[in-house]
Amino acid sequence: MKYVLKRLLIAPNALFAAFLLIQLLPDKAYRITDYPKYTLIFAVFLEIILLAVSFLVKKKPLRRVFTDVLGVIFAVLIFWVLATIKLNLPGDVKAAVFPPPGAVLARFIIDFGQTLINIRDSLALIFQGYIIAVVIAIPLGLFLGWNLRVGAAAGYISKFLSSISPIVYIPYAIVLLPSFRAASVFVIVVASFWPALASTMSGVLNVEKRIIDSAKTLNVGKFTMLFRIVLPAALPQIFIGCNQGLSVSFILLTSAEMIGARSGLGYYVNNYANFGNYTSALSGVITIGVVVSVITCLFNLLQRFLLRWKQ
Amino acid sequence: MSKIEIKNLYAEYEDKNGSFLALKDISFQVKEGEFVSLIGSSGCGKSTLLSILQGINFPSSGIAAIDGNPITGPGTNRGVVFQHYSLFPWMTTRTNIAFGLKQSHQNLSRRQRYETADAFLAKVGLSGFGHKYPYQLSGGMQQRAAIARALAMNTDILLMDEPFGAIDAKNRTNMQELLLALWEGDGKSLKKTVVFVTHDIDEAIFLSDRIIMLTNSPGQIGKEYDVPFPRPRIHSAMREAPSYIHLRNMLMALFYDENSGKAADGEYVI
Ligand SMILES: Nc1ncnc2c1ncn2[C@@H]1O[C@H](COP(=O)(O)OP(=O)(O)OP(=O)(O)O)[C@@H](O)[C@H]1O
Ligand SMILES: [Mg+2]
Repeated sequence: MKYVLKRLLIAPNALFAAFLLIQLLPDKAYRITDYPKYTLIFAVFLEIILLAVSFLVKKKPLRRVFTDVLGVIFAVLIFWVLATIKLNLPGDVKAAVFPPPGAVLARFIIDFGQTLINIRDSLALIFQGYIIAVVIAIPLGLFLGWNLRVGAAAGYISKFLSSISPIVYIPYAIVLLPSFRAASVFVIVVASFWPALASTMSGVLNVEKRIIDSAKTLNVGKFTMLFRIVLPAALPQIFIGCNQGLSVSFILLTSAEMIGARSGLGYYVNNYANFGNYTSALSGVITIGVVVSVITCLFNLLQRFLLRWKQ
Repeated sequence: MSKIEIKNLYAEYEDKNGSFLALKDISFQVKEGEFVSLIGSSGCGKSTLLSILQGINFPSSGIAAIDGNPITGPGTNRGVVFQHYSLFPWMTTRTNIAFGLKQSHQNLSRRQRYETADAFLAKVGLSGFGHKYPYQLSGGMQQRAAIARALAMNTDILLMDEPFGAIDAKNRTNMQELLLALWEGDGKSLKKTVVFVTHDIDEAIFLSDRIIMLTNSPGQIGKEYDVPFPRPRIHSAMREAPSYIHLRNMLMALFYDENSGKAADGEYVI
């Protein structure tokens, strides 16, 4: 009994209750189309997940992460409903730019099929660009970092080049590359290339001398030295850069998809924002947020696995 | 011909304000199959000397040669145990050992490498720890795994820098006996040539054919002692012998005299 209470008496549940309570307040914004039922169903759905997680997930840290995230979502929903429907803070004129959650959810459901296609196309674009960048940057960084003299010069040049926003390259990419699609991929490649290269180089330079010496006394060849010793030793640093690259890729997704794409999350948001349809644009922005979170989460799992030898 | 020959060797380290002389005019030889210990106080250049034999440092003048050829770099004819733990942190202990074997015995199959690795882990008292990563082991356990890696490679020469420093007394005795057993081999093939750095005079006497004492900074050869005790040696029996006590006292006196006033950091600080 005490156990059940302990699992129930957490802030996210209180926030859910608060969410239900504010539904009782009178609406102030009459002109806006809202679908409060959708918001309610969504909130109840999240609460069910919350309850399931509270009782089924055994590991406390993992449970905390889930319940905290759900709590934050409830808090956002409360604020959102209050600010739009209940208090109409933006006022009737600007209300179109601030659609209420129900409207966004309804739009999300209507566009769901298109959203799936958008996710697929955007992920294809990002992964293609990202993988090309990483596959070139890591071996190059290993080589440059290992050959110190070349590396020092390369360090300055890459500092200079990486300070230029990839957007600057777009016109050149469109002119020089065979297709719009290739130009879009190029933007992602440039975005993720520099952080991956820089972190690999600094990772290599920071490998402890005793590890290198230990490998030397085993008489390892150049290839083994780079890929079985230096690469794993530098991996923790390399991951920092690859993480950054992934974030930058998503930030630049919209720019990349502005180049002649006809689908994709960035294209979708940009397109609807241009037409003043902020309900759709917002639905797209939230979708991007969710996709980024899921990808980041998977990336962290990969990192945890590959760096399992660190305490 | 001597297995290892060092002649008029000087070693310097470069730093901001010029260079620092770490070793001065060192000359000695090690015969094939001989077990030689280097002793001397902290900072006298023992590790520097060993790193030159390992081929990762080079003399500023003079000669360091193996089998008559000047050392130009590392080689798999030398098994190395560093003073600091030198396992690769991203490999489990058995993979660490198997990796060493892959370098020294290219003809071994993967399975043979791992079987040998497990056998050597057992010899150093770490069976059951093969799948652990170095960070999951204590300092002494990591050092035993590093020793297992060097011993498994079954090289002609062993270069060991305070290998037993971090290991408790009981395991230390076991490791010393294991090292001697592997050094002597099956009695048919040639014995290994060992250069062994230690702070522990008892350890040096128990293991060595000869003890070379380095004097303090810059390191120079102080005195050399033959250790005449017959082999196989047995700890308990040796300790009682008057000749042992005599040799030990002599070395102790020299050691402390050498570090005049700084005796404490000589023997016990590692
Ligand atoms: N990489 C280096 N750069 C500059 N000086 C160094 C370097 N390594 C060692 N030295 C100096 O060389 C001298 C000898 O060092 P070394 O490590 O060979 O001593 P050691 O006899 O092994 O000492 P210990 O018993 O404490 O391990 C010391 O005075 C040390 O300060
Ligand atoms: Mg030393």
